Amino acid sequence: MMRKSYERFIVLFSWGSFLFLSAILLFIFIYLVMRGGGTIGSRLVFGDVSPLDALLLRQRVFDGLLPAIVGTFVLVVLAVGIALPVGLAAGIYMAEYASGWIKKILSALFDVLAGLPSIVIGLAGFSLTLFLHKILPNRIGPCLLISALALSFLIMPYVVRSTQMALESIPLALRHTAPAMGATRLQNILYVLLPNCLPDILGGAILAIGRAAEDTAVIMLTGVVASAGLPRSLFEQFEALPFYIYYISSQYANPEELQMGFGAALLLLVLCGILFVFAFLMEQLIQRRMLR
Amino acid sequence: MRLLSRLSVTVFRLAAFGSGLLTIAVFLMMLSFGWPLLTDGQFFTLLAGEWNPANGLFGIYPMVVGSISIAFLALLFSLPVSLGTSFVATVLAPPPVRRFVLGIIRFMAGVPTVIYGFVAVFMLVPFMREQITGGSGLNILTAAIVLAVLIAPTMIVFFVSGLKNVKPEYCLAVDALGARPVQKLIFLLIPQAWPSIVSGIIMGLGRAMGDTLISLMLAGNSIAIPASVSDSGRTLTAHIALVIAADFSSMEFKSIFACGLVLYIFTVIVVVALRWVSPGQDLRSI
Amino acid sequence: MKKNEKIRMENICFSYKDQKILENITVSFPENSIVAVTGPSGTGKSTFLSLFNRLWETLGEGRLHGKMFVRFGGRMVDIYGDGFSAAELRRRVGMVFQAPNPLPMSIYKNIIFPLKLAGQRNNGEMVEKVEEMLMKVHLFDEVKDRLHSDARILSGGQQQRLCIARTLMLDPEILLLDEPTSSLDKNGSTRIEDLLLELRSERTLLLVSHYKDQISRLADKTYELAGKCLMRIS
Repeated sequence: MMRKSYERFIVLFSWGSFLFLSAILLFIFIYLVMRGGGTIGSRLVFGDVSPLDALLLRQRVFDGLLPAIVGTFVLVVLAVGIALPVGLAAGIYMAEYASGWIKKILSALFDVLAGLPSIVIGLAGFSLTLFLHKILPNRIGPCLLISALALSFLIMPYVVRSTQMALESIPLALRHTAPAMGATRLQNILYVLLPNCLPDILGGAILAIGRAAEDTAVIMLTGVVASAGLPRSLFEQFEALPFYIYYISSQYANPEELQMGFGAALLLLVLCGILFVFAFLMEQLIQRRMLR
Repeated sequence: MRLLSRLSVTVFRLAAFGSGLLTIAVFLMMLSFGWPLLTDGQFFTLLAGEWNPANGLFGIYPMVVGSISIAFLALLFSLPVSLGTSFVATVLAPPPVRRFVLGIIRFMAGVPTVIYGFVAVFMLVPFMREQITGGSGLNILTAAIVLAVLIAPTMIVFFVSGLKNVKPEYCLAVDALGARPVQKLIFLLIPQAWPSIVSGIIMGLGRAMGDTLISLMLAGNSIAIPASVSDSGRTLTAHIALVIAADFSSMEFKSIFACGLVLYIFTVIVVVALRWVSPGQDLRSI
Repeated sequence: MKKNEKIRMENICFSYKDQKILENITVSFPENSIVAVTGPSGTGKSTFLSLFNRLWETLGEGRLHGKMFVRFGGRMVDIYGDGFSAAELRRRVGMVFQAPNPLPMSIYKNIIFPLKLAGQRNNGEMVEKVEEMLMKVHLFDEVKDRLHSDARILSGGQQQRLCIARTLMLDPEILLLDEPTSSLDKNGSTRIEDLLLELRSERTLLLVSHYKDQISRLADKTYELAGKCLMRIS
């Protein structure tokens, strides 16, 4: 039958598509483990310096990933540290206070912000340095602080939206419980509504951390460099893991450096895997709560 | 207590308005820094003009062509694969397997872009060079293939949420009438989920246009207008990344703000299109 | 084998989400009759019905033991056996649900939907068939001017008759009815009941209902589903 055969084609093609995508994922993982797995160890991170000396800042690490790892870590902490409180406050405003055309305009703006290519956010961050250069006497170039600011701007819509959605989906019964006992609006938000959507907010935060940790385009324009050592101040340039991987792919000088690039890629993939597991667990928590 | 309440509202409002206004500020920033170039000629002649810094021509037409061709090619590759995978994740696979399929897709969405690019540089590029396109292996086709893989999870998540949200009564009616799985997809689920499918396509296109790293690493970055998919090309995003590494005050430098403006306007168009296609849909469901 | 036997269940055990619903049931139903199943709510009457068209399979998490036969073309066929797909079965065993469930399309398209599934092309014959079915369920006069408007504008009773007409398009030998009148008013219910009596002459109807008077008016045989068992009560 004709109809049967096109149905069979769709079934086969669909399964083929899925297997194709999973094969790519599996391939990437196996390939990175094969090429970079051997480098995983303290040498990859600390180079020739002993880990203790490196961590106590007694010796600089030149041929290890430590500066890049610490750079990414500091960057993510700063960016999330800025984006989380601001995004949380904005999300609360959107869900609990904003209404009418103000809400419409603001949510359209957050949609645009969420959709902006990260390179555009990076360019904005870079423009900020040009701008500061004009009005401030001492020169502020691209640096860790500017990168963190731009990056926090990139990830903020995730926090805003997850907060807003979680608050808006709280059932009316729960929403009315505390006010019925005389709670103010703020008390209701702080004592009932926010605690109730903590897993959603954490889920949004994890998503934001993931985006901040993997982004390369923003920091490329706002202060990341291939070699800067451990970050010492907010106003200096820094190293980061994803940029290091990008840099190695085109600029590696010898096979050892390339090896390290593979090690770094494997490391980043594993870190993202860990974040994924956290996000997954958080989601399970949310679902279980909804079933209760 | 009243004071605290008032203060908290002010803080919340400040956060929301502040970040909203910053979004507008980004646009104005692009506009003001790119202004010298814009006053030199019209915005549209800039868009359609050629790039020849030696003769004072800073048209970004080659980059517009590069961006559009890579993004659409990626969409072309990615769409059937994404649709197929979303069918598996919603209808074709047995229920316990569906969760597993979705898990894999979600994980793929979380894999850093730079890793796709990195692996492609060492695996796909040599393969393209030796087997398919010849040349350096860095070309529009290579970038589009990797970009297709990158945007697939975004699209799949949209498709799946649309297909899953079809009312259960309808599914029950169609099942009870004896529809086979594929018939259920064709006659009920796809027509019902159409807005989500279109949203997913728009979103995928948006991500493809906005991506920097894949085209920067794999498309070759030559500034000539590409004549075929095996030619090297440069996208708007890659142009920004490449020129910023050069010098600061030249007109060439100003052109990156024109690129930024184009990308910004493109984003606004994407957001408007999404709202028009399916009002009320969450744009960040991944 | 009894001569006019249509359905036979042999040692059927069924559990859903680790909860036992049926235990070791053996029973047979005659053709061209209305068999009513009643019982307290929550005992799994709807689930019981879904065994006959394997619809529970789409919901997952159910476990079935035992054998289930339906007579198709003079032969008792194991409906869970090999070589018999759920989709094929459902085309021969129609189902009407508790709440009318028209698809989000026009009245006309709703009715021809089963034919589309069966792979038939839209043509003149179809229009005739649609009219015939609508007349059969006494809906034609009410909707003949608006066949191409959305089916969801109809009243509940009209929607339910539309759903019955849609099910009848494939001429099923068995009709499963899951409290088909519970969401309708008195007038709507009466029309459906009359229709079921008309259909009885050439089909086997399995009716789940908890209205005593409805059962006494319609049923040839009545069973009660309680405590995982099926008991004949009249």
